[in-house]
Amino acid sequence: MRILLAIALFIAAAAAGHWAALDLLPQRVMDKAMTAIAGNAGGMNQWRHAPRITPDNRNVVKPSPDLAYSACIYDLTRGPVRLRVAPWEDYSSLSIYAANTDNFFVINDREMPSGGFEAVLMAAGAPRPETGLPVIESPGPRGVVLIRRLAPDSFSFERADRVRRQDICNTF
Amino acid sequence: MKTLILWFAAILLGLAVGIVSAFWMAGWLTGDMPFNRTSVSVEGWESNWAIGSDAADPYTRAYIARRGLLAMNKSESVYFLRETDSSGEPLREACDYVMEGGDMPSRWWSVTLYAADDFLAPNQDDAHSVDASDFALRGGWRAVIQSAPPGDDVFWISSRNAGRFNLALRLYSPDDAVLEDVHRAVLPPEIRRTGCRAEEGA
Repeated sequence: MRILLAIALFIAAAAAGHWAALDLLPQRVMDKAMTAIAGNAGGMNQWRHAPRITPDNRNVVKPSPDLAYSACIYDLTRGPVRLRVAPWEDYSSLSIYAANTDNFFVINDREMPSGGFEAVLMAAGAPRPETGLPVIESPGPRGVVLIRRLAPDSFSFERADRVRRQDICNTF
Repeated sequence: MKTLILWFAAILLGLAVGIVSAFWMAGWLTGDMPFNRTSVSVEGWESNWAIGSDAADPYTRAYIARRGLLAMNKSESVYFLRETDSSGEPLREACDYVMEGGDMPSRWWSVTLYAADDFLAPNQDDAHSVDASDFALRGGWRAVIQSAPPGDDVFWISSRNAGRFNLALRLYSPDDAVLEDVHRAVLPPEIRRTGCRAEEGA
């Protein structure tokens, strides 16, 4: 009987450990990346305009040296967040990630208005602010907003760096 | 007392087995997921159609967290990865390679070299990738992957200080055909090994 119970405890503990690890792994990695990005940005709901990607950039795996990245860690517990993506001369995209790594929203420059893209990011089910802007609902209170701009050389990167100063990620 | 120790040991052993098996199945121990139902393989380049998707299973989420955090979902970008040359041998700094490809079915593409830790190789050669803009209007294209600079007018990805490395092929704004029939739509670049040197310590 005690052997059977030991086997049952082993199976239950293995299942619990297995699923807990799977649940925690992406969240821990994401938390670490979000903490690093927010630290570099000076807090949440602020852009971190990353310098040109070099081997010294080690916050997030597999960075592309051909892109200018701007990242904002959003925190919707302080209210909805206003987003603006300034128009860029080549490929660009806005992608938004939940804390579990899901990319729940993405739009590229060809889908954006010519003058840039503006939207309100808010918690799912929260009252909608009357801004007239499109609303993006986040499945959780925190996550990452990421803008990619194609800038494969130093000249285009400098231009992208000037343009992205007009991006917005802040609370109303 | 012996019974309590037995049960305690069973719980500890179970937790260890559960945690280690989770790391293994999510590809954290070997670099690849052993049971991957959403993988796509084209001429040795591997991808996963569940990247970034809210339909991704827990194993895929954990795998992506390790090897491709903040990747976009397949509607916006498709990522292929390879760790071997066209003959199946691991890619490594001690060897030289020629990479040849053609037009890609996407708005923009790039091939980037990453060291085994999935960050850019620690060198200051500023030659970590080639991309569509390098080969505008050229159709077929060719680049070398090696640790030393090649001659002029040769497109180069530096493998200096990369050790064993991998290559990532990004297709941004892929054509619809890529998702409909990837094997017909995508002809990824070939990686041909041209020679190797003796590795230090070998």
